[in-house]
Formats: sequence, structure tokens, C-alpha cells
Amino acid sequence: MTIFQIFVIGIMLALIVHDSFTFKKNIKFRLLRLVVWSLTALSIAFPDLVSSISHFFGIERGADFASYLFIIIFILISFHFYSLNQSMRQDLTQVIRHLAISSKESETKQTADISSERCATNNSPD
Amino acid sequence: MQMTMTHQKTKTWIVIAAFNEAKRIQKTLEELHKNGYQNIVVVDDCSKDQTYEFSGALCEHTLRHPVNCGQGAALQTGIDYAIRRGAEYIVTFDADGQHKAEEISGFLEALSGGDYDIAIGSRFLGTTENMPFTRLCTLKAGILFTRLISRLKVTDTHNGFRAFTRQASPYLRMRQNRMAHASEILDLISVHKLRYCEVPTTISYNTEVLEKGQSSLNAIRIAVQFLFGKLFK
Repeated sequence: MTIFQIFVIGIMLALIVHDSFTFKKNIKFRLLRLVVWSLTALSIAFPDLVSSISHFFGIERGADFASYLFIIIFILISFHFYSLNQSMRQDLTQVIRHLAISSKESETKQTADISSERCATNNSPD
Repeated sequence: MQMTMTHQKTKTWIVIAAFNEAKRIQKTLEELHKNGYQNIVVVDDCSKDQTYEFSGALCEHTLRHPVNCGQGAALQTGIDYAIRRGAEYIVTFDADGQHKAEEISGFLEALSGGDYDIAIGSRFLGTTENMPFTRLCTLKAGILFTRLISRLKVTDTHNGFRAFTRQASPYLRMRQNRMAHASEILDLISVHKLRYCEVPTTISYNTEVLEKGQSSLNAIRIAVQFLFGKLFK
């Protein structure tokens, strides 16, 4: 085993141990992270396994297969976060809109109340 | 006919989105008042100048976004406000004096017959004053883009001068906050199969208007924003 393999597998094992004791409420998220760290550790520990899988898909080198996979997952995640960003932006716009309109309406109401008070004062017998 | 137009004006709300238009907003509002339009809502999109103050002096219904959101968002805020106030017709109008207040009646006449849900202004059916050639090319590219994506045949795709009925407003709800809202409106007309017509308008270009307007690079950005907005709903 090379120094790189020992180092990375060590980090993956540490993450597996850490995540096993966190995210207690979000089981699905915890399981996903554990799967990702485990697969990463396995692919580093057994590079021939990755090559076999890549050959199955018609890709010559295991490293190329890993790169393609990374690019696809990265694009999917980017689209997901863009969509999330747009959704949050629209929510924020709704809040700002509500503030602008309700601020104006309460200002109008206050002005109307003051005017009617003045009218009542002017019309009183005293 | 005059009584009908006067009555129509009382049911019409002019919606203006304004950003850093302190120098121009008062003249725009004065022109609208002179033409008999009293129901005007100005939405100040968190301007850095005194747009809000200057507008408030002449327009009772001046709203302010606490954070800059974009022209599309500001227009939708104004439209929501106008609807809450009982608007039957809504006219979107630019704050910078590009549009002519006397041409609003043309839009209202088009809508009053009940044959159309929305009337869109077209500078190419009307008149343009001092339009640069590069702007003409960008707008023509926009027409082609709209025909390809939204399958809508219009002669002017980025004219902020438009009018629609209260009944059509729920179908024209803008989600695009910035300049892509103009393309979005056309797309919504196509998606919801709204009845539309084009009304000739006059657009005047002066130095200030040209400085504010869309460059070709911005036009590409607007197209991308619109396409992404369509894909990620």
C-alpha cells in the first residue's frame, strides 16, 4: 500500500467513525455519507476493482471513470443548488413585497385615522 | 366615447418600477397626471438617490422595496398593490420618460372591447426616435429568440409599455426578478394562451436612456436567465 492510500483510507475511516455518531436525527443523510466514505475508501484500497468496473462500462482507465462520475454528480448537485437558490430568492422577494405593501397600507391607514380624528375635533361642539 | 374613456381611466392603474430615477420621475408623473391618470403606483426598488422622496411628492401610492430586487419584482409588487386597490386595467409604464402618457388610451381602447387580455406595445409598429443601430440588432435578435422559445409572433419583445386586464393578471405573474421578466411575460402569454394584440408606441432614446439600456452582453445574460428560469421552476 502507498502512503497516499494509507493517508486517504485513514481519513475515510475517521469520517465513517465520526458520522456514525452524528446526524442522529437525519438517518438518510447519515447513511448517504457513510456509503460515500466507504466507496471512496474501497476504491482507493482496491484500484483494480475500479478498473474492472470501468471496463464493464467500456472505459479503459479507472481514473477516467472516476472523473466522469465526479463530473456528472457535480453537475447534478450544481443544478440542485441553483434551483434551491432560485426558490429562496423568490421567497425573499415575497417577503420584501409584503413589507413594501403592508408598510404603505399601514401608513395610509394612520393618515386616514389622523384625518378622521381632526375632523371629529373640528366638528365637536366645544 | 369620452365618458367611457374617463370612466376607464378611473379603473386603470399605472404601475411604474423606479430605480435611481430622481431626475426623471417627477416629469413622468406630471405627464401622467396631465393626461388624466390619477391611479398611479410607483415602486422604488431601493434607489440610492431621492427617487422615493421625489415620487412621494407627486404620487400618493409610492412604495419602497427595502432591498433592491429588480424591475420584474418591482412591477409585480406594484401590480399586486393595484389589484388590491380594485384595478380593472393595469398599465406598466417606464419611469424614465421613454413612453408617452397620451398613448395609454390606445392600450385601453384595445382592451375595452373584451377581445384581448393583454395589449403589448411595439416600437416597430409605432415610432422610434434616435434608436442606435446596435440596439435595433439586439431587439431583432430578441424577436427571433421569442419566436423560437415561446412560439409567439410579436414585433417588439422588450417593450415595457403594456396593459392587461385584472382577469389576466393571475396568469401573468412574474417570477423573474430582473430584466428577464419581459421575456417571461411573453412566455406566459403563450403558455396560458392569452389573447394579445400589439399597440404602436413611440420610444424616445436620449443619452440618459441609452446609458441605462441593455447592451448586447446584457441581452445574452437576460436570455440565459430566462432559459434557466424556465428549466428550474
